[in-house]
Amino acid sequence: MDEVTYIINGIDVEGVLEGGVSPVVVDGKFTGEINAEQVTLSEHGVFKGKLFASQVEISGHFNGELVCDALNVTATGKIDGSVKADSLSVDLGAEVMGSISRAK
Amino acid sequence: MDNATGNKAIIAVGAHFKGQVKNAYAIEINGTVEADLKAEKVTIGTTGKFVGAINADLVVISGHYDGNMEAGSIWATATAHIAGKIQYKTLQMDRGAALNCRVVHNWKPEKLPSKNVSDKLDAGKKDICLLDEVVAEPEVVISETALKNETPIKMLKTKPESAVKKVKQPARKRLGIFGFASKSFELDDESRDKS
Repeated sequence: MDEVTYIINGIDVEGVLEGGVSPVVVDGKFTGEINAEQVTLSEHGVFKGKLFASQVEISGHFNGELVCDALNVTATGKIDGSVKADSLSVDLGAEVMGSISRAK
Repeated sequence: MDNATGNKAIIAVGAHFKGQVKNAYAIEINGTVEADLKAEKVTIGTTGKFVGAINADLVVISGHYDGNMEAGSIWATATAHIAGKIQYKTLQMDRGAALNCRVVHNWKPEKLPSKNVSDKLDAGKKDICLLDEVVAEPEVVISETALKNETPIKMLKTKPESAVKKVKQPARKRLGIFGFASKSFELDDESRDKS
């Protein structure tokens, strides 16, 4: 129940991840697609591809397409690509490049 | 959350992953995974399902597995269901574990390097032994005898006898062929010279 899908730092994952109900934490390198409820891209995390989730927090490097309900980009977060989010919060120091639009 | 995971990558319950995994050290699978995996330690939980190849030192299976597994140690717990093929060095099965697979006891990973090393060592030993027999021992003997006898003529005599048989044998034969008379004369001469 409380379990997290955890892509650990140092690992290199490529493919499609359906997170289900459990939250997903990416601390390593992920290339591909993630569908989940809640996704955290932590400080060392590198993501390339498509990310679909309801809640997303980005402290690492995101590259690609992001569709979510609520997005929080922390001070260490970097985004390069297109973002679709209903609610958006960007901390001071975050780097956001690309297009931002509302999901609905 | 991070502390709870320790140093493992985890695929949680309900999660489904399909793709490639690289540079994995330890991974725990409680969801469903279709991938080829190389890691140190793989744990497939009771709710876990894994389809694909695994190459690992230790695999603990409590869930479902289907594929080609090469592992140092496999521990199939009571709830394990295994299909496909497993190659192992050590296998533990708990009561209730279901194996519907080809099971091969495999010493390959350790055998190849150890064999090579042992062969090399043996070869080295043989070489050394041969050298000892042919070259080193006679030399030592000669030096010892030389020290004991203290006479250069006797040293020369003992050298070829003990050191190189092949060279000396024909010399003996030749001497023999020439006959007793010549030999005896020679010996007499030498003995006279020495005395």
